[in-house]
Amino acid sequence: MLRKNVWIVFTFLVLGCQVADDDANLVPTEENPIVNSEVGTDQDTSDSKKTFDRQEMLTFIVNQIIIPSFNNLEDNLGELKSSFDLFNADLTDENFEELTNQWLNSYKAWQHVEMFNIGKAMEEYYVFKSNIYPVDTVRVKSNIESGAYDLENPNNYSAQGFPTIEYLLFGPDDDPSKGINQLRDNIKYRDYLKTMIESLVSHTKAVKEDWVRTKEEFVLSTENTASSNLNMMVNDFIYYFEKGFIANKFGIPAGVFSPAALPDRVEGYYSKIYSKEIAMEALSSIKNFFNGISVENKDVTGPSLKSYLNFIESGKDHLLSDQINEKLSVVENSINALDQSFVRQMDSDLTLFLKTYDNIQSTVVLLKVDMLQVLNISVDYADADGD
Amino acid sequence: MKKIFLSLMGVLILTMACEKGGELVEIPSDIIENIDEQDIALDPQIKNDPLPPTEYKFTRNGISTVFYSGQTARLKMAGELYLAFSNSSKTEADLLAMFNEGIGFKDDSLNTSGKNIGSKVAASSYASSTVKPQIQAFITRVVNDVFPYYNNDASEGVAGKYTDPGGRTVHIDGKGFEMNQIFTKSLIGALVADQIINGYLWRGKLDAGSNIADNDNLVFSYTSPGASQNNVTQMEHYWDEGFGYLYGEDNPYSPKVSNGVLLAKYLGKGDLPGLDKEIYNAFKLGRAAIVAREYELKDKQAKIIKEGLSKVIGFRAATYLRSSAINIENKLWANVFHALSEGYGLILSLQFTMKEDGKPYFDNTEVNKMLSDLEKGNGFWSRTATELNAMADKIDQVTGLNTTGI
Repeated sequence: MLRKNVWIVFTFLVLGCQVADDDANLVPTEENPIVNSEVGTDQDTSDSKKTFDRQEMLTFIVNQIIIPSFNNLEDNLGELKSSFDLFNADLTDENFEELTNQWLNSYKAWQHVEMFNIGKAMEEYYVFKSNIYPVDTVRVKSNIESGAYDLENPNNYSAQGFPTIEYLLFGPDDDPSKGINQLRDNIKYRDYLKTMIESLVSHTKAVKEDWVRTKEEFVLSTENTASSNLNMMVNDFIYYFEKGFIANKFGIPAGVFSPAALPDRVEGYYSKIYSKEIAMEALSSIKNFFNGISVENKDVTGPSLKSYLNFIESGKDHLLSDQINEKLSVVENSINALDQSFVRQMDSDLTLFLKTYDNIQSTVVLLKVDMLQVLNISVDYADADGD
Repeated sequence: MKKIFLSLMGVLILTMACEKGGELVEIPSDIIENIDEQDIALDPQIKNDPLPPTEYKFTRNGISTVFYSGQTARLKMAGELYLAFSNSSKTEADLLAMFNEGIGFKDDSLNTSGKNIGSKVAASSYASSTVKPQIQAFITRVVNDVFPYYNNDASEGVAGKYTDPGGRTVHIDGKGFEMNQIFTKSLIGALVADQIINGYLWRGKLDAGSNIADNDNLVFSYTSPGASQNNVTQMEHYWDEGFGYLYGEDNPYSPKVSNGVLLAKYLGKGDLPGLDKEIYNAFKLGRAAIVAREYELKDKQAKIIKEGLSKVIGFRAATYLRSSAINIENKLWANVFHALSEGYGLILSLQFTMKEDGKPYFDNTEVNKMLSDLEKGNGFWSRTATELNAMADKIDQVTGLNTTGI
């Protein structure tokens, strides 16, 4: 009851003396509350929808970024599979080194597709099956021993994918020969590794083929609704930035969400020296997506979030897209200043690592709050951290 | 009764707003008396806004929708941690468990609350992630550098206790740091201000996701005590949680705050007369605005609260520096250590403030520079009155407050 009463008060308050002269329909009801015309309504995009071609943007992203990224990943995983077959047939140091190189190349290629957790990828839990870390090493070992496991079981998400392959290749401790020896001596380990690689190959193929098959239809869904492909993709991008990029690669290992740092949560934990290289690769995928840089040819650019923002903000002195790109440059320099091993970095100077986290975090605010406000797109996920 | 009262209030306000129209409606005098006269002569910043409700009381179907027990629990935890920082029998593990896990408190309801302070320290999107380890290190420091020497005689570079002639006793480390003060005053910014200013009253949180649409359409996310089903919207509850970080240990139906060891205690000291009332009014009006779906009005009140609370921190940070300067001249060193320790924590807190342009008075880097300046040499033992007054001047310059002559 009180709520209605407060309304009555507010009606007078807000409308003041004009209440008598204005349209009586302005009196709010449960069904038809008075909503301030400048809040929660479509301020800027009603015009821009007509003029900024959202479909063209989606088309560019799908054809020039998403599908080429999947092609790259598929090619790299093919190489990974071949290098495994070679090693499996001839267990030499050289063949092993080639295998680890191909793991790194494909893991870097993966960084360009992780953000597109949409459609088939989402249905198939593709991201979960590809890049959950830390690895559940107990589970991996028991899977290897028993030989009976179901990779579709969510409990096995942390016992497959790139991190698990890394664990099998590099081994659990400081002895670099551990991984290769175990693989040489134990065919069960090689079998599991083979299954891991093949599984990534087949999942990637399925997701890519789905993109190729559905792309024409996909790019038509550009309306500004929570379920439109455009809005979902923008949300996926920000979600990836906030979770896959910042939280997983930096915040969680740095101890931002726990009483102390958790170095064993870094990406690339077992290979030790690639955390930075992998993170930089992920950052480049973020920049490509935001700025509409073609994956096939870096000199080709197309409509993107940047040009969309610039379109809406045309005439403004301080463009949000410039602010975002400036921040991303700060982030890049900040990551570049870190040790190639994030574990070593946290050990020697945790504060520097935390400051990198801060730099990335301040970009989240620009993307999630400022950018979405300009684009008038709603966030489709929320952190339920209230009490 | 309530309904009639409120409706009449509406008429009254309409009447007041329409004075120029010349047509006055006669209002019974008892109704007029119910409206606090001070509300009418509000700060110019808010005088164009509608009047706030008289109390922070919001109900739906007769059941209060306001609750913030988690905030109250954390404020009380801060109070017990403050005492534990003066209990030299506590181990580092004891204090860390209280801080991070929310266990080990005398008040057992805290131990079972499921809440802790650690995860909410400098946890907002605007906070530097370096602050939590910085504050957690105060725990290590009190246990390792103060407790073992608790009743030794302190001197420059030597930890122990120090007593002014006929006056205060402090337990300090070799740099003169009174860790219970430093820790607690740091939480004023890193916990309370950060949670209110950069968290619950931030548009990025209040309006996040579908919060506006849900609030418009009465899509409820929380069940208040006494209700049998969800009856509170996300936005309403976030606002209440922000309210709870300030008023969690005080009477929510009064602007008078004072309880606890954090921000409410210092707002209640009345350094800036009328500010407590202004902030209470803004909390009430902002919450009413959410119910009325007037989001711009809500944001305006949030801004008043953020800038107001920031002033409390800015004012106190500068005044502790100035009072330390006076005590240095009077050679009352225990007073110096105490006030400078308070000042240190409040300076740390400055990075969680917000001034009119939306930025803090000082950012993380600037704050850390001031803190390291205070810690130079033999720490507080090495400070001069000139240095401290200069630092206070610098703070005043940014806050726009004048703390000289305090």
